[in-house]
Amino acid sequence: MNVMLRWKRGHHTFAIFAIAERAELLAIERALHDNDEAKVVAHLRAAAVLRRAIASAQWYASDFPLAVYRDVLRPTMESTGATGGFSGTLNADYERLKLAREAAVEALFATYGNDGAAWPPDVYAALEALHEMEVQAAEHHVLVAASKVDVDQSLAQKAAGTTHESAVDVLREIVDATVADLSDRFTGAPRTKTFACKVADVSVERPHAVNVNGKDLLLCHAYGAIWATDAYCTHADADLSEGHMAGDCIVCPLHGSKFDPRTGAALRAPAKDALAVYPVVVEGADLYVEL
Amino acid sequence: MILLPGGGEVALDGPLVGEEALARFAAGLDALRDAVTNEALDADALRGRILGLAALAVEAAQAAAPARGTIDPHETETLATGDALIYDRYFDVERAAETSRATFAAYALGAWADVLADLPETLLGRDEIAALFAGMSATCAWLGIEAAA
Repeated sequence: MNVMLRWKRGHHTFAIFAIAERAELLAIERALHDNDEAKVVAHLRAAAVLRRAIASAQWYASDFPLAVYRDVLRPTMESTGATGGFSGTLNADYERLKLAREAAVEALFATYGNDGAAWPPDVYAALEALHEMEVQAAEHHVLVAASKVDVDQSLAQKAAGTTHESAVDVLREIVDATVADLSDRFTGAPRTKTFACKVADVSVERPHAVNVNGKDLLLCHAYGAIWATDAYCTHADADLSEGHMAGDCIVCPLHGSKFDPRTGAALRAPAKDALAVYPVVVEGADLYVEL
Repeated sequence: MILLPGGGEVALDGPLVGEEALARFAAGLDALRDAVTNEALDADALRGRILGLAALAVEAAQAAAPARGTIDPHETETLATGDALIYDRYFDVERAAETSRATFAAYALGAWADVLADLPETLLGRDEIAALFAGMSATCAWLGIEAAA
């Protein structure tokens, strides 16, 4: 094994991926200007693939034992005389990538706003996927560093005279900041279509209970279509799937409250508040609910 | 040594050099990436396939080599200064204000030929290898290197 060649070629591959990801992110602004959502999504997806590849390039570059790093490679970095230590922030390609990422995210929020529910679902999902890869890449970096320096400090920390934290501590803080970076900005999320059941499972005579993504819902036939509402009465939380249909209305088994499944509106006391309703999508024999 | 754009810019509008060899590499890369992701290749089979791809990378790097840029030390020192210059020099990175896609591809293939030849000697898991290949494929797509049919 030629450790130095692996170390350097791994860094070169890291830089190549960083430059390619930066280009994908920079192209987002143009795609937004052109109102081309498909291109926005394609650039975000490519960026996510490249971000994951950056983590793999790190694993490749450092695929040798801790002792080799400590006794062979680290001394070669220390001997370069870099005054601020040998921090990764000196990696110009990665620093430029971070700036491009910030610009792309700002452009996306400037276009679509902070309410994720107002975003095109594909764009929202693609940005979430990129963000997940960014978090995972940061987590990979923690593990890569831990495998090479254990609880030791980085050369930059040593140069700065830091005494209270290790290199891995700093990288864990970066993970936390990366997680918060996007999730703190969204005030809502778009609905996503999820398989609920087969169309044939929904009886014409009585409401049908399903659980979709951990949420109990009620499906029923009314007004010539299938509708989805919350599963429990707004009056006393009775399970509406144990009730029945009266014409096109859902009837609560406990006190007889009636609900319109199209709007969720309470039509007969004692219930006063409406049920939440959810869009239903039928594709062939399959029934989906948008949550 | 690798030559990278000092401002991060790669001009994508020029022609590629060694396009046929690059296309053969891209096709081999796509096929191997699918095999790593979807097939139960044993270690020996995977090693052989990776070395086959490394050979394609060497051919592509050689075919693209005429596009390699001339190093201008003055330009490098202008584009990267202070400790960033030390960092670049340590990792054998030289800088040019801008590179063409042909130049960038020539250096990328040169780096990847070494990586691929070395990959079977590593202890990387399949997921890491697959992610590495996916990154190479995404880079090829960005550069407009189309896989040969």
